Amino acid sequence: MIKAVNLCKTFGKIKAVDNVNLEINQGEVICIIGPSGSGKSTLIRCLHGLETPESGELYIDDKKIDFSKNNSKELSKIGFVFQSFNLFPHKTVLENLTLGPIKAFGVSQKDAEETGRKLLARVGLADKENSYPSQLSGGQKQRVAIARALCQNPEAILFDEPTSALDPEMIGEVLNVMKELADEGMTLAVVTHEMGFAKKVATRVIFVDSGKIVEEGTPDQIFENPQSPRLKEFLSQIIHM
Amino acid sequence: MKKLLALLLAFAMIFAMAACGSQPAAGGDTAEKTWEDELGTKGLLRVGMAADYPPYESYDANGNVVGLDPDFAELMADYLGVELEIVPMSFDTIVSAVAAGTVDMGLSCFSYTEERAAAVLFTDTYMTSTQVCFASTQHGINSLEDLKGGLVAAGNGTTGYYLMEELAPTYGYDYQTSEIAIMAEALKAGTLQAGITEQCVADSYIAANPGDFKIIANDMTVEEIKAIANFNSPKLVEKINEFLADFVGSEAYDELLVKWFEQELE
Amino acid sequence: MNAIERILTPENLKFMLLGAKYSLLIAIFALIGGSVLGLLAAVAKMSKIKPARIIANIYVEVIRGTPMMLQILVLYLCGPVITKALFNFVFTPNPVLVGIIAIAINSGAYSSELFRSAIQSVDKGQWEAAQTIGLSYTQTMKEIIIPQAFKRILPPYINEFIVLIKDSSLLANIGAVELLHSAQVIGAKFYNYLVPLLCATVMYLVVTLFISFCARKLERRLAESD
Repeated sequence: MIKAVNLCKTFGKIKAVDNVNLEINQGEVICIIGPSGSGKSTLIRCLHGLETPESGELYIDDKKIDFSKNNSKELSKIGFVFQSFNLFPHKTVLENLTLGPIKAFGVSQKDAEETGRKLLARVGLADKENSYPSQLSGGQKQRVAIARALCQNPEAILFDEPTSALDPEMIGEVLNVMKELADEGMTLAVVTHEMGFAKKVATRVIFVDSGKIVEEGTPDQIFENPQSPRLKEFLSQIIHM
Repeated sequence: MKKLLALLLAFAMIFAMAACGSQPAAGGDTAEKTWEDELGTKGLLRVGMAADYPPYESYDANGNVVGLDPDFAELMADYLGVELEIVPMSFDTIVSAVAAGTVDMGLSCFSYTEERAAAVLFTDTYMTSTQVCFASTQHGINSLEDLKGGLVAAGNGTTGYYLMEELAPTYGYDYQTSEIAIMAEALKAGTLQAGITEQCVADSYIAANPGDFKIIANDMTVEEIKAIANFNSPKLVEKINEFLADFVGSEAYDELLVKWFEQELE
Repeated sequence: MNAIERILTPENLKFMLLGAKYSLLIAIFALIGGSVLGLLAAVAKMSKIKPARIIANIYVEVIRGTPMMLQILVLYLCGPVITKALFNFVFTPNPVLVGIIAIAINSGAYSSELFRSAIQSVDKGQWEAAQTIGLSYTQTMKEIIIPQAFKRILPPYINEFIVLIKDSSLLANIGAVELLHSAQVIGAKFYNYLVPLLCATVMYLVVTLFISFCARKLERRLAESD
């Protein structure tokens, strides 16, 4: 569904993404883990064209993405959820959801609102449709952001550290929504520090360090039987904490 | 809002003072004054002029005000035996400046009107002039009748302006104020269709721009040109009238007219 | 009180109020025109297209580097020459209309910087979020960025409006009907400048202070909604 071939992205002298090959298939739940600054966020942002790679190719449904052009049609098949939510503060919760479908896909306002309300109910925020983002808690904001991504009826959703900006007591509600999506068969790729989530929900775990994919495998392989010294070191540090 | 009210109140007070200040002082003790006491500064005659009105007054290349009126003022100052200072200002402010005593006299091709006479004193006549209407040769305007629906301008506060206002319904044009130099450019460009000004001024702009302008209406009014002075300066006016009685019609006077008019027209 | 009674007759006050109305209308239309030009210039300046950036920069530098009075006169005197050269038709400009266009062009150059900084102050994440839900550049600008930039722009923008009301007085020089011009015409007619000028001062102040007052109220309201 999403395929990256020899993807490279540098910031100054730092190779944030270094010759990465990655394929995400229908129904997979992929968790990307790794130390801070390992380039995992840059990797997932590259997969949605939020960063333009210097070299390498990106395919969505076997269609090559040309980064010199506007690819909103292909890219909007993929939803994206940010660490800092990036809700539109001047729009109500429902307007945040319906804006994309109405403006970009020409869905009628009535249909868009109907879908929007359904999705708000699904993330447990049916009563907040007329609230503004500033009136919501962090966990609620992130659930709205997930509903917004769902609104464009995506084939997959990418998450960039969805719980890192949240207070600890709010992390659970967001992870629960994500788990439900996974259970329903949605394709997910999640950059995360929540190892419990990765262990329980992921079908594949990818360990990234210094811009490279160092090791990948099932949660069991990665967490119970790590091969590379760097992954072992990383896991031991996490257990210490 | 309180600040606003306080400000407005302050302005009302300035208003009241301004209103009283602009009244002519009550007469009575003027009898003992001589013309010299009537000058704002002893030994100095300050004359207001609008220096965009050739050949009467305009700036030369060195930034000095030259023309018929400055020469005239020089002769007056000589006659009085005082220094002369020419104060350039825009035409529409000269009468108020004289009335307020900012300058002693105004000498800027002023024709006599009753409205002006209510604000300042006039000397005797030193020449006559007429107002004319002139237009560009390029835009097919040949008479006042052609101005229907067009835009006409005259200087703010000039007799030409009030004449233009009066004639507007008859000829069906819009009108506006304009400084004479801008007016001439605007006529060339087609921004304005016609301008109304004093005959010699129009002649001088026509002479300076050969082929660009023509007069479409002559002798619209006949006016007596006089100098103006403050109400509190009757002695000064008497003295100037003495000078004019001698000077107007003399050989020197003719020479002065020839100097400024013939030269411009050639 | 003689001079005031003589000059501030109901008829003349009506004439002054007409001038004030025109000053306000000139400022309003110039502000609207200036906003459109300023926004276009701001977008062009941030554009990836080099010619657009160059044109916008020339526009802003030419306007900011020359006096406004000169721009008004040039437009007033050149307008018909340009239309004649282009369309072989002499356009007789109404001085008020010329004035509005000239002031709008001037204001656009100054407000383009205002718009640019406000647009750039909107969080980058907003652009990214808009991109991920499939909005185009124009849609993102219109739906997401400009509404958020607007709040930040409001205080300097209202200040710009007050500046324009005052700038409109320059149009007296091309004979446009506006408040200062009305005062000058009355001043010339009655040979007393002080009274009409003070009257114009009061009228300008009433308008500008009222706008500042409303602006402060509006700012407070907007601050509350945050």
